[in-house]
Amino acid sequence: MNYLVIGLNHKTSPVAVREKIALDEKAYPHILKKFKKNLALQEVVVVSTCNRVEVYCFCEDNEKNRNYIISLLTRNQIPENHIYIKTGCAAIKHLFSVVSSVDSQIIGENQISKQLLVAYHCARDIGTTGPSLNKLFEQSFNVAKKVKTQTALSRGNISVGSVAIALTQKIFGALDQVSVLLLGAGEIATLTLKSLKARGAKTSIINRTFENAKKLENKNLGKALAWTRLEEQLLETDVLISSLSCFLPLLSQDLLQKTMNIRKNKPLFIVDLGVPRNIDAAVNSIDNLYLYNMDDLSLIAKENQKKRAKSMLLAKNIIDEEACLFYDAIPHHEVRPMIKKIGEKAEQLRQLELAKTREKLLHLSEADFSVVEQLSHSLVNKLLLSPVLKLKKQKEPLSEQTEAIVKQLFEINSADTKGDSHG
Amino acid sequence: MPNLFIIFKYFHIFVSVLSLGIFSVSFVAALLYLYAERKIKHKNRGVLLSYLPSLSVLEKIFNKALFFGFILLTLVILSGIGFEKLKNGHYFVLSEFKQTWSLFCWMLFFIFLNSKTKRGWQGYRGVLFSLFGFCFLAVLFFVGFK
Repeated sequence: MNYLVIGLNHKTSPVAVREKIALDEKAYPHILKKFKKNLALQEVVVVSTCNRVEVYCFCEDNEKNRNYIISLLTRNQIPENHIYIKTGCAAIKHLFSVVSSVDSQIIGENQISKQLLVAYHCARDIGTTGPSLNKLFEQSFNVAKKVKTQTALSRGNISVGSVAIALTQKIFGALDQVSVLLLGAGEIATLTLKSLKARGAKTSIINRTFENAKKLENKNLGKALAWTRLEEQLLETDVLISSLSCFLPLLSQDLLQKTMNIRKNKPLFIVDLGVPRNIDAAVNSIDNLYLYNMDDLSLIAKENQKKRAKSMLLAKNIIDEEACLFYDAIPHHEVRPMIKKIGEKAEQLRQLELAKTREKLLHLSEADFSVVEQLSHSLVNKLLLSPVLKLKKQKEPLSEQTEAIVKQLFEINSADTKGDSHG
Repeated sequence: MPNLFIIFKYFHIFVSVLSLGIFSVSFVAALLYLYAERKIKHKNRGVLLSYLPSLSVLEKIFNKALFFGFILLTLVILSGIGFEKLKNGHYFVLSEFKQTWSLFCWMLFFIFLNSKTKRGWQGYRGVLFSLFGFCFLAVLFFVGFK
């Protein structure tokens, strides 16, 4: 019995492959029941996110089980070269890396630990987890917390949009009282607006082509306004996101100075995502006006990315250390059936020899014979103590050669131990 | 009238200490605001910046503390006038530095608080201006508590 991970992620397969087998959270119970029903899988958790689809299980690691998991996971639609298989300590390390967001496409993102928590809770509720996976997942969330608190892996924003949102929060505080105006319809600008709206900001859109603004309004991104209302709207807005394609600055210093005077110097944050720039760079000298262009935001994002990369080494060290500690603490399940069989064999021999002795010592009273019985018991236990302890202390699975020697020494059949390990 | 004299005296000391405390809060908030504002304006990422609240919150703390500090300063001056009358028999002596200075500070903050929204003295400009006011206040409190 061993920990086993089978799956594919953004590093091993393109999105076109991943989307073929991606699962909705609602589909977890169905596939988990299939796993539980059709295979002697002891414990199983299925995780599916936009970047990975994985099956974590605790089972007999053999070809038959591996093939069954792969066929059920991929529905035979994906070539096997996209799939990775990890066992034992490597599987534990993999889960710790995934949950700590070290293995994510966007390193340090927080979403993955929540997605894993949902997948784990689903499996636990359905009853496809047991002591081994429960312990592993609980520990993985502890490791994720440790990585988060002891490293800077999740600190700082690493995309242009998220840096702009963080700056908006730094200037205005709560976003639900902020009004945002989008000029144009650039992709990053639209995504930033979408995020701000999701956080409660009041949004409006102005485009030189009103229909384009209307299209965004239909997507529920904000109120579309006519181009002629730009100057009027500038008086009310707190954040201006501009992403127009124009070769001369659209908003000059004079215009914005006048606007700021009328606004009575109420702070204005301008995010200029246009290339060439839409806003005259000199406007940043106006009091209470903050101008950030694409380069400024990218620079901050890159600095944060570098900081995160520096933290990766520390995070990986924590994960390696924790995975080794966890793996070392597991009593090795591979040897349990063997130990059990050795005990049974010894007991069988003891009983046989006791019966023979009884026939020879008929003159002994029951009380006297019980002393002999105790002696036999004690002798067997003492003889087995040393080999059994040594087997229990095994941290790696026994090699085939060692296993054969142990079986030969104690005269145990291979079929006996294998049969039990499935149970 | 010994009882009224003591009441005025202790009330004057009490509101003076309280207003000093409140003005200090406003002063610290103003310094932090200026630090954060300059960092954002010049696109620098200071270590302290990530631990500070937003500019809007810092300005609110600064404004509220300044407003309550001003009310307390008014009470300090009024109680000081009453105390002076009971002690020396006159309300106000222009030649006395402490009294004139306190009136000057009061008028400075009165004009500032009135003009703040009307003239757009909010944000960076307002906070910077108030720092000059705090310098005058510092002199007043230094002389007052001497």
